Amino acid sequence: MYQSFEKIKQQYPNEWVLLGNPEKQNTAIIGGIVLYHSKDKKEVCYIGRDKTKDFAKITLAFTGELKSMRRVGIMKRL
Amino acid sequence: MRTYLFDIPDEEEVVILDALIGNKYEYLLALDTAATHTTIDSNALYLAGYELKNAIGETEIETSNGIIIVEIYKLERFECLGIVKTHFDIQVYDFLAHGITSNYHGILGLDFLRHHPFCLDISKGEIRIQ
Repeated sequence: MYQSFEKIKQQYPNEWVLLGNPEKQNTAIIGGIVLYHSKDKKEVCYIGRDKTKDFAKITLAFTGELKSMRRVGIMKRL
Repeated sequence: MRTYLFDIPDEEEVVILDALIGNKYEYLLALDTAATHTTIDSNALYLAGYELKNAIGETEIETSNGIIIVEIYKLERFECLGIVKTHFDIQVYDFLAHGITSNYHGILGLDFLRHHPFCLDISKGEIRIQ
């Protein structure tokens, strides 16, 4: 069942959700079909994988507010 | 030049872009011009149908947290900013095990952009790319 992301956030607060056929605007998720949800991202990826085969597009999103912090992003292959 | 829009980041956010693995799995990647190579979370790679035992190699990388070992996988198809690369080598490690809990699932590095002139305008939230 398709749900708006606002509704999904209310239903599964502060969880990772696996979404089938997500609707997006730029990088923002508008809605989708919830295939699996958990507070544990690894669980969503590992258990959710088997639930994706009937969907053309899949995405993974967090429904809460992650802590905002400064980042330094050096990644250099040695 | 093609133009792609992104959400204008605030002072403690980075530029986030959409990427596609295998024409199906849509992941958010942070654009990082201080990264030599594109890297994704192993959990996201597993979700996209890859077996984590099938690395084609490994290498050391220097990160802001020190030197870590990453595995290298070959993606059959990888798309970002309208650019499609096939058989694209990507670095992989477990973001969660390294304490990364951000909403993005990987880093778009210079190896992806090296042959594509681009102009980044953060104030407008747009990237123009050839």
